[in-house]
Amino acid sequence: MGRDVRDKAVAPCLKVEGVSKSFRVNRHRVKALERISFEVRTGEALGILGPSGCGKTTLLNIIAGFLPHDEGRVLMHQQPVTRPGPERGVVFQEDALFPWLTVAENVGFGLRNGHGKGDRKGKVERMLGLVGLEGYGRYLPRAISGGMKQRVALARVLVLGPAALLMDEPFAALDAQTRADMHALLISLQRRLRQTVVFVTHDLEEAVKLADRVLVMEKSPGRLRQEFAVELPRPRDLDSPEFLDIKRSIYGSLCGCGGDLPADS
Amino acid sequence: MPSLGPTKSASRGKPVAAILLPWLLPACAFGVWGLLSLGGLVPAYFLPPPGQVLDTAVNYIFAPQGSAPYAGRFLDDAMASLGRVGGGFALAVLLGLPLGLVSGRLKFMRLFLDTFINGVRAVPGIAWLPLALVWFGIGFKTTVFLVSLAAFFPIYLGAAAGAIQVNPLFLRSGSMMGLGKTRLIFTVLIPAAMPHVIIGLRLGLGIAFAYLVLGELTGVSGGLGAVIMDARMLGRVDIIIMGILLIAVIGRVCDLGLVGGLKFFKSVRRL
Repeated sequence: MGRDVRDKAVAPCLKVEGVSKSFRVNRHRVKALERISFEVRTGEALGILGPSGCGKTTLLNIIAGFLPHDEGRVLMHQQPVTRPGPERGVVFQEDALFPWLTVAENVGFGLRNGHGKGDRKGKVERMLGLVGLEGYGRYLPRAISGGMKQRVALARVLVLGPAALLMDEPFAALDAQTRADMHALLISLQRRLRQTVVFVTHDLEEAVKLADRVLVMEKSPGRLRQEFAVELPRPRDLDSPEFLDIKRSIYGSLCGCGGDLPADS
Repeated sequence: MPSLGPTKSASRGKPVAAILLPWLLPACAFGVWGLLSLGGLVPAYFLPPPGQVLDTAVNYIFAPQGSAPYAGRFLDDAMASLGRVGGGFALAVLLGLPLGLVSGRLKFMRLFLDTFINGVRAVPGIAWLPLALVWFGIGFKTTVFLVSLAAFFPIYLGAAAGAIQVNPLFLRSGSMMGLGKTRLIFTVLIPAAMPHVIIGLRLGLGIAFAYLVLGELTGVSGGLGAVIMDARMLGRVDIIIMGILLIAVIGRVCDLGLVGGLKFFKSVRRL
């Protein structure tokens, strides 16, 4: 089923062309990203995997329009990205909900212009239902759990119907059970909404579980090392030989050698 | 529905301690005052007993004007004083809030403003008084100048501290959801900075009353500070004490009014 999605989309949703970025650290220029190029097709889930400090968050921030880049181009539906916008919704690693707004107000926040009040309320209700938070609209963010907060963070961008959903290690701060629930939610949402997703993670299993394609990055300087297609039906069986095979080969790429998986993973 | 804490708090009735506790310290102060003056430890021309001050206050507040010295002047004086505090405080808010927010968010504005503002801040208000008298003469303008000058600094510092510590993810979230600069300021920056902004406003209002009295001591015709100064020259210690108490009461009421008024904002209600 991943296949027909891929064949239908001819023009890429998102295109990154030769993007480089360096930072100045104590008068030294440190190359964070070097000539990164890839495409994201409409409806595809792309995972960017790499060790800490490889520049994957920087890359996501550039795509989101939060950071300028030095060289190259980022194109969203053939238009260059210059600043943040609702067509590229971002879910952050930490809780970034507005604490002075209720759950429903947070979700409706981006709908403030160009939507009637009733229309907005309906959209918010529907989206809360979609992420499994019906009945929690009147709660303040401080009264709900970390997993629920990330559901709200997801809902507040999905309600805007973004062309691409960008996620920066969105589940890294959650416990294992909650993380698994969020994975299931994301998989079902992606299937239902045919949502294009670009997510960044340092968790190998998460990448293989969620992505149609995994890009492996290396650090100093941040570069793309290898690309893997994950053509397994969803939901994926984490113990199946195929899953473990892909995991093993990506792990090998991450380590820069064809090594075995460590015993505990 | 789980009772994890929806928007409104469930507790209706306050416990008795919550009602009595705020009045405990004022009651003690009155008690000590009564003991000192009624017990004859301090002569009445230094510290008149509470009852006498109360009589004076009743006369000052309720008696028809002209029936006795100071009779019935309260409303006029209070209005004059509140006008000065209000004018000065409003001016301080108008200048301090935007400048503080800007200097908290923009580094070049901080570099531009901070040395000057903190330098001026180091000058005590009393040092401005002679200059203010030369510039503005005795009366409304001098008092408003002193009040706004004094209230400006805490308001500015509060707004700057609030703006500087705003979680950058909030601003990114706002712009990612399609907000332009102006909307971002009003719907994200100010609500997020609100806890510090409130502290600045409350400190500012408090100091506004302090400088109100300083401004009115110069010999303006009406106002609570003027009454106090006037009474000193006539040796009416009861009036002085009454004036001090009235300023305390009005100051506290204004603070409550400010905090209550700010509850108009969601970001304050849900602090």
